[in-house]
Amino acid sequence: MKTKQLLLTLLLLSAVSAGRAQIARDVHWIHGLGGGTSSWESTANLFFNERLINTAIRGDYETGQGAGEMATRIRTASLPNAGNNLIGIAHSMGGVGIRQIDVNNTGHFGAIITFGSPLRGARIVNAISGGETNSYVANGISKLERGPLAQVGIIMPRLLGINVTDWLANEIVGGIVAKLSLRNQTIPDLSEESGYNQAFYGSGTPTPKLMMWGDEDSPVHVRLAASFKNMDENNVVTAWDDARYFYGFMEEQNRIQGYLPWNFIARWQANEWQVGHEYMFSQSEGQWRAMIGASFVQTYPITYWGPTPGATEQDFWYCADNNLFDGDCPYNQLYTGTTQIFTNTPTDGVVPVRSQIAENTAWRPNDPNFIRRLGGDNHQSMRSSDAGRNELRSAFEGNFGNQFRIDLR
Amino acid sequence: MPTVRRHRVELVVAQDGAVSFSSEKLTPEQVIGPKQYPDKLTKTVMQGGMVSFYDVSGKLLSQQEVPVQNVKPYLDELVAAKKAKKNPNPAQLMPGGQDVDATIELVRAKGGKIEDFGNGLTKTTWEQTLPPGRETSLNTPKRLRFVNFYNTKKGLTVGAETYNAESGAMVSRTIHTYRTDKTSGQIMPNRVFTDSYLYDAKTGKTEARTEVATYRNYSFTDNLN
Repeated sequence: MKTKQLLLTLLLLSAVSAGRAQIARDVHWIHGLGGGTSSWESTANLFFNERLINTAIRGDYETGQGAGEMATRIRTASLPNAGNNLIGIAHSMGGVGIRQIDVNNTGHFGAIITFGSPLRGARIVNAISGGETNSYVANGISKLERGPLAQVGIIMPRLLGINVTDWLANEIVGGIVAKLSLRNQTIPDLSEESGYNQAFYGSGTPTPKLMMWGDEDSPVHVRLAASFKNMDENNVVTAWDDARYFYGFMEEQNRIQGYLPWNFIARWQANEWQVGHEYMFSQSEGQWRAMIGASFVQTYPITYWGPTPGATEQDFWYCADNNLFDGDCPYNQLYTGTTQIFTNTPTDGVVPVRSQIAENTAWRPNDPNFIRRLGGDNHQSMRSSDAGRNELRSAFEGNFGNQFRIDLR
Repeated sequence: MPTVRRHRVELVVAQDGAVSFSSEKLTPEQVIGPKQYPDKLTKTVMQGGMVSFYDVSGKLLSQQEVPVQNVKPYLDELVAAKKAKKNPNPAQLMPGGQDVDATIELVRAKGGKIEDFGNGLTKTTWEQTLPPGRETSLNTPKRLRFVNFYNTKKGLTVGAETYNAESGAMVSRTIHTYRTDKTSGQIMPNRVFTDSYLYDAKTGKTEARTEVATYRNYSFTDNLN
């Protein structure tokens, strides 16, 4: 009898095991602005070999005719596979297209994962189309060249064999702008808070969604440029630092030499080098962040002391000579003004976090756990980074629900 | 946003005019404002024709060649000025090691203008044409005017102004303040306020910035005779 019972139990266990069917799915890998079939290639191949992916769709969709046109092409490409079994994984502009499909044709995708998608638009698009990126470069060059031009015998500091000014113009800004390849209807569609984007803010769908957002380390623009050029980020940042150290050295040693009795000119030279030093240390990144909308500014009222109208040079230096500053100087009066304080917000170097996670829109996931931060990843690196792949693997394991699950081969 | 940096800085001018420089970052250093990435640089040394950058463990980060600096002609001018000055004060009586009289004499020898504002407050003015080679830059003046203020009674530098001599625009203004050292009783440099105004000819805008340098453990050794 006992033998019979044991056998029955074993048979039942076997039946249960056979009932847990392996989950296989189709995956539609969708590139972003200016991308193509190779954009997701390495990650798509990795998971194709690892998981039960029946069909991996990777197309090349025109991104120059607007988000709507791209969405149409994406939908057409995966129409034969549409349904509960299809997961859409989209980078950047691809996520904007996928949202349109999900809202207008709910059920096309069984689950959606976006990476760095500008779901509230991208301010960098406004900056490129409005010429702000050109002003950014001109301002940077103007600041970086002041020191070298003020000091005979010192050439422009170089970064990986290229003048630092050329690096700024051609590798950072030029390289990024060229890769994005913005044109035609795509410009108004992807602009910050564009009418196209706003049309979807109130449209939620029941489709399970995961949103991955990049939070790149400082200096974001240098790291982003390195990724766009397929260079090692840390090597480029080290080279950027080496050039920055030189500006700092020239500023400091001129500052000290300026205190020597004969070397008044060194004081001026110190100021000129200081401009480039400050630019490389913080302004260059700060201005980049402002340009892509990854900082906000707050204005505060201030009061400060300044010379009374009519105060003479002699009055001013009388106070300085006698340590009479601010209100202690009889030739000063109080003025009012304002000061601005900039605060950074996280970004992948191209899209600020609020847009990557579709902040305050109905389409974003309700559960904050489904909004995943990719620390140290920029807009370019997130498609093939360890952090991004680990999140995908976790999703395929079913940690965010069965709709994302794809079992191992 | 204000940033606070503390450095130990040493500048040595040898008798033959060779200049060496070193700067070491001290803690605590405070960078206030938006997040900035960690700075590996701890020490900078310039000697001969090379500047070297080191991290906190003494590991060389990078090196770069720089033109060898030699200020022998200036040293000779200063020695001559020291001999020509009206009040031959020994250096140890000059607070902070400054030789104000020699500096004024140096300006006079270069054809500069000296004005007395009363109570020892003295203004010196002289102009210098910058060496050629910067014709491409809109922002580089061809000639600078240096205005310095001294108190000859106290033997102190009060401040300095630099102007673009062509446009008359102020480039920078520095004010020096002093404190009495508790142990030696000597007047020592305390704070130096520098306002600089950076005109960008391309945009037509002027950026103003303020720097406050606070001196601790200041020493100045003058071996010139």
